[in-house]
Amino acid sequence: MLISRAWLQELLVDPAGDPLPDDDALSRTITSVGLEVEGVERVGSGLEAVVVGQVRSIAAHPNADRLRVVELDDGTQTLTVVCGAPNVPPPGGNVAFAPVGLTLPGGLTLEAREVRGVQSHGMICSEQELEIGPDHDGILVLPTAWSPGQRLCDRVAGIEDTIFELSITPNRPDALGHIGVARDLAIKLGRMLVVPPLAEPKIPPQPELVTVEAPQRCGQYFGYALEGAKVGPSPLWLRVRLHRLGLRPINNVVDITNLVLMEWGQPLHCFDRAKLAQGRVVIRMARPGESMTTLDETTLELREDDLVIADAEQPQALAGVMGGLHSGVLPGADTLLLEAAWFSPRPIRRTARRHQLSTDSSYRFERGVDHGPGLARAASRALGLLERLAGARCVGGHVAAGQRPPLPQIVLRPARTRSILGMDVPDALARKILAGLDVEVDASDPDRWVCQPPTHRPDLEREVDLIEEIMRIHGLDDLPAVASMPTAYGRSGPTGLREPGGRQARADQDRLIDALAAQGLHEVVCLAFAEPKVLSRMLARVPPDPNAQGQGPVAGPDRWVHLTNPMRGLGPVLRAHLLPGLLDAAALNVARHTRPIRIFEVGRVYHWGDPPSAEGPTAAIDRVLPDEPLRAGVLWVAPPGADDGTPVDGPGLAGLMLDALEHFGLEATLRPAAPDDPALAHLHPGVRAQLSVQGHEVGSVGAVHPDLVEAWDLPEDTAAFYGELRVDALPPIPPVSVEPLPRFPATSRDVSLDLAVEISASTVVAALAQSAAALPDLSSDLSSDGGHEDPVVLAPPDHGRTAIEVVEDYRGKGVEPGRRALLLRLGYRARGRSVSDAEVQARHEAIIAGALEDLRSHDAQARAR
Amino acid sequence: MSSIRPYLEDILPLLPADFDDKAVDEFEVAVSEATDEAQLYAVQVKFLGKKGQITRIRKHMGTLAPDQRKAFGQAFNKLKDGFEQHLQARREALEAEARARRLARRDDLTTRPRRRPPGSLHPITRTRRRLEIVFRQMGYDVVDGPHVEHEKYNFDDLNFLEDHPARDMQDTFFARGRGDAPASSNGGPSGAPDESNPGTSPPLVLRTHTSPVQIRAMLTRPPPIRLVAPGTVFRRDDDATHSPMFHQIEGLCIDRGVGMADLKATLYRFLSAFFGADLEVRLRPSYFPFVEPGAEFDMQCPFCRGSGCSVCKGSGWIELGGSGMVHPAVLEAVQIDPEVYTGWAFGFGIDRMAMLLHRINHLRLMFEGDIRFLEQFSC
Repeated sequence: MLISRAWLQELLVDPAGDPLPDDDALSRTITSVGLEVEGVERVGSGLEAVVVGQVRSIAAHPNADRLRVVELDDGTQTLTVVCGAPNVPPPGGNVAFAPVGLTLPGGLTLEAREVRGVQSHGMICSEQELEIGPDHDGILVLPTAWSPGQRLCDRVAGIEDTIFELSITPNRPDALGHIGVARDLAIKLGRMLVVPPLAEPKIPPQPELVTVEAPQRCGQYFGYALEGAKVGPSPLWLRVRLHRLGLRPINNVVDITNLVLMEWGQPLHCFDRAKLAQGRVVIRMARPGESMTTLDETTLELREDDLVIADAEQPQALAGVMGGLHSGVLPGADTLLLEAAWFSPRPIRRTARRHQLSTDSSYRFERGVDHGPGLARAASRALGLLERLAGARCVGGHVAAGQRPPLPQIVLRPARTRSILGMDVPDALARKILAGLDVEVDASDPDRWVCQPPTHRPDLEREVDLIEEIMRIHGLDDLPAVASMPTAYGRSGPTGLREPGGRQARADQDRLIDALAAQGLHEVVCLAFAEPKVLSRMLARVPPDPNAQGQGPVAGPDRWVHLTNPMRGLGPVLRAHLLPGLLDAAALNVARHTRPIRIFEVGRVYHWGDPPSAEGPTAAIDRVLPDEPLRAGVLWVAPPGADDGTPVDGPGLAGLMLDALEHFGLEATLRPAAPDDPALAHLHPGVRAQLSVQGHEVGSVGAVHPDLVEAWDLPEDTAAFYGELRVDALPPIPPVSVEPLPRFPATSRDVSLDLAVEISASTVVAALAQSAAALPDLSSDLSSDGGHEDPVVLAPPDHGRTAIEVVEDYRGKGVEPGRRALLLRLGYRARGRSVSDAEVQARHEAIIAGALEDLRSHDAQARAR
Repeated sequence: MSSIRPYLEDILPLLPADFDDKAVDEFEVAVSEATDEAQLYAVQVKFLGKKGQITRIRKHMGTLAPDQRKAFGQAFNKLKDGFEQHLQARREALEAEARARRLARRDDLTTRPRRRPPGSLHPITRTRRRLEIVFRQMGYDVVDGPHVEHEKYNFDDLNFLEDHPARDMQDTFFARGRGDAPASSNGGPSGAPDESNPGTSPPLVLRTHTSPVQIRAMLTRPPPIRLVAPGTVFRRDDDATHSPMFHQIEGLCIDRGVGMADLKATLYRFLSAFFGADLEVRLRPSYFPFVEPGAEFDMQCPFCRGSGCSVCKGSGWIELGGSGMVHPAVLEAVQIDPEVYTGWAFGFGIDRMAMLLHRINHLRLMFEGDIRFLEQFSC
């Protein structure tokens, strides 16, 4: 909303005649009452030197066909000016003359100069050159009644002005006009709000003018018939005023309705009555199949929910939004029908949104204009101006009433004001503020004031709204920063906020972020939007078994969460996977530099799951919401040649995932992952592993599928590895329970196993561990000194941390193709004694025998070498 | 090294005339040629061990008269001690040499330090955590809720009435419900679902603010309530200063007798703790549907302390966010009696705060993931 300082100056009269505060101070004052000033623009500076120039003579330019040499009187002397405009008035006519030395708003400083051999002393200006209007078809011709030498700014208000751009919150429709803004400022500045004089013509009743068939949607309709209109340009002051406020002057009738709009905040509409069938209007709902063409030449298919202003036959305006193409007032119109109305706000908004039309009119109606005295005043103001500036006399009128909002009676307790604000506003001041805002206050009970808000403030509905008004005008600068509430207390217990896992998950999320960052990874935050085409790349080429839908960790298209109104350039689906966002970030880095990229994100993905069996007060809503599981994704990418000393490879990232989980507090193991597991379709089929904790799958790690490397346009032979954790699947972190330190030395034995390469090392290690666990206690046979209570067990050897360690993976000479020799080292110790070679050897052999038996179910040739 | 000959002086006269002192010379040479402890030990065994060549001299005692034997014993001991001292001297010399050699090593550690650089925490994470720590210390719970939210919690219960222009204050992403058919371009001006044909699907939105967490909290726990809700929010806005996804933190306090002055005091305490300095707080009346009275809050610029700088664009103040007293309609929506309890709420942008703290000039940097930006926030 643009507000003119010059206009405010007219409305806000100071008893002592002082001018308004300077622009900065005024701007602060406006902001302080909750009407935030977002911009201040000074316009028209320098134009005080523009004067009325009277044409004395016009002669053709001797050397140019299109130019003319004008002699004009600037009030003190006669000057020669060369002018190119075709519309210089005949001698005696007045023009706007800019003398030598003046700087035009466009930045040009005028000087005396020769134009094709004729000396020109200044410039005859158009509206556009002075930036007081859009007209540049010719020079500005001024009324002949004005005397030469008069300053233009003395004849026309607002030539020099300051325009404030206000951000008006949606609760303040009254501040969408100068009078509303002035009303707030009057109290704040101690000035008097003086509204322009209102016409009070005697209007013969003419009930047939207006029929309201939709009283539930049209609360009030003032319709006036006018005759004798002379449609033409508006006077300069009106054109300047509208132009300053960003409105294009059109003709006097339209300009008047726009002026009243900017003054009272009340949208008005003028119909050419001659074009209305039967010269009357019917306010009704649109009929099925009806359409209309609006002023901007768009044809709208109307809905039965749309309110229209029709004539006896068809819609002529979309009520409260926009007029029809043919009902507008054009030059030549003689009879008019002026509309001033109050329409029910919410349906106006529905209609405006449905037809994608947001107009100055709908903007105000959907916020709620005055349905009381203000509406009548705006109508009177327009009638007066139409008669004065367009010669249109009101010959009849009718006011039709429908349902208007009830007027609330609000009880305001001064004690409540004090407790809500936490400061004391004296009662007298509070009442003065309310009175200034046109709130009627009956304070016969000093503890319970009965208040009646004005019809232009539909936002004042409850006691607290009045308290806000008092606060708003009184200001918050005096508000003490004093806490009366009890000091710190935290609450524990379930949050009930449907955070997956609740508050523990929240702490875990932060710990996991720390654990990953500690591995040298950089945290990224990716936007949660995705393209279906991109998400599809995460899925198996061959659709998995449909029965598996809803089970696997990757959601298929039928489970994606779609937006109904995506933004151009952003995906229309919420991400169901973290990898695409991380690959985008990696690709951006690869395009910018040649360093290895090690990044991670901990964030939610979104998909439809089984309706949660939520309980509690939010359950009904939670059941219709999608799942938002938390994931952690780690991506390593190194384009060829990128090297920071740490290799970017699978074992590296696999180890990192294990280390990060250990940092987090969980011991994880790697397990083989099936090449055709649909949940891991984003990974290379042969370079992948599952991560598991306490026997449960919690994530995966592997090489990024080569198709994805290609799809993201990463250079060929880029090393790319991705690890992912399902954070919600991580078990609680067990407390640290210390193992006693061994007091006796351990010993170790190696074994080399000949195995098919398909058998993963993790399978071999698991088979050995399982075999060891299944063995009967052998020590009692070998030890007579209570060894059965302290058996030899697999345990980390003195040189390492793991009881079973893969030492070497040998393929080549001596090993058949397709097989490998896996050298493993097993550690043994007893808790409270030294162990003998014989018992260790016996145990070692038994463990290997058991493991091989197990492994032969995968590989018949499995054997010890 | 001194000769070992003097140690022989006493014993030589007592030895047979044909005594061959070749072993003595050999010992002297062997000691001087030994270059480490192991060689020296071998020399010691060879010459001074039980059957060593020097030790063997002792057997000559048997050939002597008894009155000479005592003198021989003393002379032999002098010889043996002397030889052992000689050996020890050589040993110490070798150790000194070895130590000197170790100390002579010169490595330039500045040449190529082997680094294992730390990773980094995103500035949003860093800022969110700092905020959470301050509020936890002030006695506030930290909670969050779903990102895809029901309109009822995102708007209706927060006093954003249906078809009210207040809803335009936050340009909203709408989400299709479970199993809804794909979009059939019947959206409204901003693509909002067509209200006249809502179908059966629930009106889901990407939450436009963290305020639905207020509603969820008030529905699930009785007052008094003190919480902050940091989290991800979404608005249909994408330009140099707006991201369609960003982060907010919201504070809520519901208790008996809570007023605007408490709000201002809390904001003041929080900002002072967060920035470690007394920073003034300024409230300006404004409008947010879920608070009444509502106010924007500004803080004194922490960089210039109000005297004006480039960060605050010379004003001395930085606009932070919105605040106000929880609207009675909101309390009623969650069955809290506004006559008994009042409360305040505030909210501001975490991303904006992070940009302010770290002087990040372009919002774009926050979400594109350039490691050269991220590694500046190493942890």
